[in-house]
Amino acid sequence: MNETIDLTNFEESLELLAEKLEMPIPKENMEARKAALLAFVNFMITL
Amino acid sequence: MGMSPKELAAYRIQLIRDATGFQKKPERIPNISFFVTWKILDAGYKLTEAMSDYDIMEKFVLYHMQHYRFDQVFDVGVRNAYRVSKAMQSSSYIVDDDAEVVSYKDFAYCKPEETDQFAANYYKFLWEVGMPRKFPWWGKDAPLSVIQNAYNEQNQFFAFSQHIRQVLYEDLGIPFNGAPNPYATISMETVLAYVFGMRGVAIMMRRDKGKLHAVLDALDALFFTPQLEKLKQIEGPNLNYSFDYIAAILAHNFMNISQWEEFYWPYLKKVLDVLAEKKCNCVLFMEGSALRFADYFKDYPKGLITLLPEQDDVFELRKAMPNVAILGGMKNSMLGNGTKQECLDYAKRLIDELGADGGYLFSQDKMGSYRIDANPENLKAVCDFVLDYRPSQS
Repeated sequence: MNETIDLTNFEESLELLAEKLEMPIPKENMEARKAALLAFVNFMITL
Repeated sequence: MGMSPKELAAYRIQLIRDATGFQKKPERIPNISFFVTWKILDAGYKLTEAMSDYDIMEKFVLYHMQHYRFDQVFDVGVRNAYRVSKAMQSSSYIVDDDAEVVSYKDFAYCKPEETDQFAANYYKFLWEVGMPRKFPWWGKDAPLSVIQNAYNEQNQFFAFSQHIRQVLYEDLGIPFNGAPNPYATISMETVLAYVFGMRGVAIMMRRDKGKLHAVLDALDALFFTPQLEKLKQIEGPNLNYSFDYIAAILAHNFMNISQWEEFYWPYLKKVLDVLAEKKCNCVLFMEGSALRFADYFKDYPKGLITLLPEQDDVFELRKAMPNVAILGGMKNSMLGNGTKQECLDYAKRLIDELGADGGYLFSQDKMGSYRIDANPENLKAVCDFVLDYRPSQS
């Protein structure tokens, strides 16, 4: 599996990534999944 | 009968809070480890193998705490999120096993001319500009597997951070260090460390104050202000932890006094004022020098601030800030290069002069990183001494 994702547009790719990524947050709670992704990038930029 | 781990942890919290509070002479001086990667080398591991393997990480942390019998430890092996960084294919960490050195590259993800874009929408800027600048694969055809792997690694990193603290508590009676209170990050630290970098901040404080303020204001609105409001809601000290608040302060080293008063102190003061009102204790780890900022701290009540200095003479600090507890002081250069007797004499002096009446917690003067930062025999002798010694309580 070499699936890729277009991350060039913030709003669209945040939505898409929140749908595609396996996360310990149910898909019904998209806002929480997106918030977790924002926390993720906020952490990654420090590494 | 010895104490159970739970009783031991409670006893240690009491020792630490007695020392930070100045209210009561502690039964003995608490001994706190400020060792970071030195722990890996001392336990006989290579840096890369230990930083890449959570089982080894657990082993060297437990060895460190059991062998030297510290009461508390700042770094539980997670100072460097090396595995997560590798999963992101980041080149920030340079780990040299032969030289036994971990280096981290200074990186700025925003240019001064991009300030408006940054201030208008922080997360959009981070996602569309900052991330691809830091991680070149983050763009049109980003591999989902890399993101998934990094996300999983992040979660494992946080899980290990919790796990190792729980093991230290349950097996060795090492108390949990900092209470899980809201943390109001001073925006200048974020800007210095990641947004503009050290060089960029130094230049902008002189040439582009307006743009610098715009970035600071954007970060304040998103992080500092909401977190400060949450901090105002806490009830008070959390006696299940050694400290209510732990802050690392680095940016002051790049500022003169007027820059400190403009860009830093107003924010730190807000945090300290809240903590003082709540009668909490807090550790301020002031990297570099703290002494020239003594006037800003010297009027706070005893019991609020515990200063973890780096380059200052701790005896001078005590004179300049008699209201501030001191954590640290034992010179790594002496632990590494001195004789055992020199180390023991200096440890006794630290305790007698700084701790006989409370207000002192024994620790080192640097984040122990390199093998030369301590000779294990010297450190063992000093730790045994601190554990057994009772300062004169006249």
